[in-house]
Amino acid sequence: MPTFRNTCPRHCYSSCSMIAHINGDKLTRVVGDPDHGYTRGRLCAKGYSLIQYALNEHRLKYPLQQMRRGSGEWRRISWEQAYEIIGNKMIELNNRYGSNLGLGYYKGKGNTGFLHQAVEGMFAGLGPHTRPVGDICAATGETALRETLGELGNPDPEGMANAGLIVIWGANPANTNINQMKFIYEARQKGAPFVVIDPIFTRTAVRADLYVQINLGTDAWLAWGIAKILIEKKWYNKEFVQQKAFDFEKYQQGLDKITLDEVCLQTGVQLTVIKQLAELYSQFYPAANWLGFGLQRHRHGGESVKAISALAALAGSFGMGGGVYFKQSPQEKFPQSLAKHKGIKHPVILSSRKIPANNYPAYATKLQDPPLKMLWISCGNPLAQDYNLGAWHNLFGQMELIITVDLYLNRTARHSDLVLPTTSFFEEEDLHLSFWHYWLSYNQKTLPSFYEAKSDLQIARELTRKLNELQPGFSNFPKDKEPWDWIKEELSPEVMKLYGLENPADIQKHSYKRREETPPTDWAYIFPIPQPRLFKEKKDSSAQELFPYKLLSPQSLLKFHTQYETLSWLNSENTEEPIIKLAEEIVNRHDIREDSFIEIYNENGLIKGRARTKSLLPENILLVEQSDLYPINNLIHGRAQDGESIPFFDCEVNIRRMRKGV
Amino acid sequence: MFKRMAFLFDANLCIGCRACEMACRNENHTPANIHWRHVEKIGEGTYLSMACNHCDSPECFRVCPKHAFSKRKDGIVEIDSSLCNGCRLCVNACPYGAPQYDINTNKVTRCQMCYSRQDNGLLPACVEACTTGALAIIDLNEIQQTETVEAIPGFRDLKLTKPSIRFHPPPAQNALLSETS
Repeated sequence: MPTFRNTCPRHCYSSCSMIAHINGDKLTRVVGDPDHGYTRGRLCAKGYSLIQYALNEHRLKYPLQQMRRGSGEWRRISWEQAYEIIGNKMIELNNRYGSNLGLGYYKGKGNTGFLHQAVEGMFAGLGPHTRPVGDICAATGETALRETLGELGNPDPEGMANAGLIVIWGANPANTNINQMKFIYEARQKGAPFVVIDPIFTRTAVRADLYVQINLGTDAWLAWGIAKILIEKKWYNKEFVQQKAFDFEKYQQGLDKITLDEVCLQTGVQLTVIKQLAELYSQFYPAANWLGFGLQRHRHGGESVKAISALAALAGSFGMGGGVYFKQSPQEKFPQSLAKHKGIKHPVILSSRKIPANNYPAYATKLQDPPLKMLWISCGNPLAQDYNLGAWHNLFGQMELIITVDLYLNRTARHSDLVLPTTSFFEEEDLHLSFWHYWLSYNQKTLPSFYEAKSDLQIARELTRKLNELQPGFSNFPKDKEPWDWIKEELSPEVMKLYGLENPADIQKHSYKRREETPPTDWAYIFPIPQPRLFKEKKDSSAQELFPYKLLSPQSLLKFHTQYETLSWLNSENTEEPIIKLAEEIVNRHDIREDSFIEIYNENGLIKGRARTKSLLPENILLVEQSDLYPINNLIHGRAQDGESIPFFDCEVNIRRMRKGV
Repeated sequence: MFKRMAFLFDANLCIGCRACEMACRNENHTPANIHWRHVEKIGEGTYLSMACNHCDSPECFRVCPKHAFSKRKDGIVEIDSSLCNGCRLCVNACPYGAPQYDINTNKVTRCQMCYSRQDNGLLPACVEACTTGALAIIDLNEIQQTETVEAIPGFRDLKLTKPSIRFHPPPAQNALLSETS
């Protein structure tokens, strides 16, 4: 039976390279690629369910037009009709406003392949337009680490197996990065203590030698407390601090203003445990500090990131498996020809309008001269997965045409005018990197397109053709280039050298690992100045009384945000209502029966679900999985600052029992 | 040579990721209502991944009126579903819930330890998929009894059927383990 090489395109740590087995036109088995050094041939539960995903009965087959937005009256149209509607609207808006600034897109990370940058490329081809910038997920951490670590890259996560100590701050690899667990176990086997610091007693925490339950969002305090002890006891690497770091004195002075009593109070961690952590940091070398995305999904999350990175600097533990693990952006070394495509020049307007992705609808709604009138959404489901959903609905209300490209008729698609069915990654060619490990992998076109589904790149090519037919010279997107042409272009001589490829075609046979780069000799760590004041801002006590609980919606095991929800192997027990996990204390306080219906609410919305107690959950936290069926993100509201991630975990709510008969 | 193939499970390594369950489906294409392998929570954060235990004295084999079950020379209990009349005596007799009745086909199916893969020198799909090495197969005729235990808390070791599954003993409590709140 023929086999094909594929790569999972989800915005996930593992970016698994895999082998697909085909019988006729049918996908019969998908397994891991045993030659991939990071996954070593293993996939997650979602990966092993992909044969269901590829031919899922819920997938969209044809382009659809909604007769009146939100009505649910859908009409099947041809691609030609869809291009006609879109093309005419684009040209009309261009004529009305004298530019393409009234046209914009929003792109999620549903597929992170290089060739999905065709969305960016397609709009770039139009000349100045409106586009999102920034990372909604990890920007806070990236900004914070740039200030302290500078250009130092993320260590190779396979090297974590050689660490002398592993401390995970707010990540849950047993759920979200199962392939990392073997490296952690390997280190542990060799004697490295394994510590997990998390408000939630996660499945990763269960496997740890030491679990520290910390108050939500107070990681900075714990790291300051540990640092204080390390410095007081002179348990730090003086040589590193003197020769390889700046601003140690300022850092130390900042720490002097913090007392260990305050640390205990803020974090809820006992002094003996803080001392124990300091001892571990001083006795075991090098320490791998893994910063999860969770801890930077709060206001001032950057403080936590910086404070933890300083622990690595105090020990001087960079390299040999130690260091600060967060994420990397290896694509920066690539040409990114699609995303960086140079479009046609506008006589007056020099560049596109950039909207911060971390508060997209708020900015997009306010745009003037011209207002945004057409929105293209691909690789994302913002109406279920973003925050400030009210603002999204306002934005939608202002649009004259909304086009969503997706595999499913998800919540965002259901509020759109046109829905274009797109291919799964088995039906398109692509090239993939990971934000975590060092491997570069190819994705082969394995299956024919599902009904009339088309890839983002194919749509870009065909819409460009249509636009230029309607108005010659409207776009200069290179519509004739084939997928492999674009892939070859990404494999520039520098990239091939970095990854050890001799010919571009080699990538079709194996995954390739990037060479580890040594930091420049003049690299130095910059100690952050602790900012405890930020955490002491006066909180509105009445608001705290009204909404005393924090709603957390971390990544769940068998979904990826709202993806994979319709696969019966994975999620057959899904209900229309969420399961709300809460501490026994809350259950008792509100007199809630197990499995009874309760409501979570705040100023932004209300959601009904079933109560389920979870032992060892802090008594101010509610846990709910994300879903397209019940957008829990309706309750999440806020305002991320420039260069920050969305503070998804700063969501305050209250709960109540449901009245009978409701 | 007779073998007694068995699963070897290490609850200390299992993270409950359920890749084994889905790898089984990926290999055997079982419908969503059929669970040849199932990951069960046996404690806070502790999991047991279990399929058919290919017992030395299989109750399914004993109770089946159609003699649909047989035990191979390597110890794997096979079922010939074409002989099954859907009476479900085996479903009720098995202490481990291994035989799975499919209401749509009126047949029982169950884990057969991927014997066709094993015949070709491959591991069962579930074992191959386990990223932490918590799941393995062993020949009970070859291992030394001291390395493994017959049961862990959460597993019903019914002497009646002599299940072919062994476990790594739970670790001695780590001195570092403590909890704060």
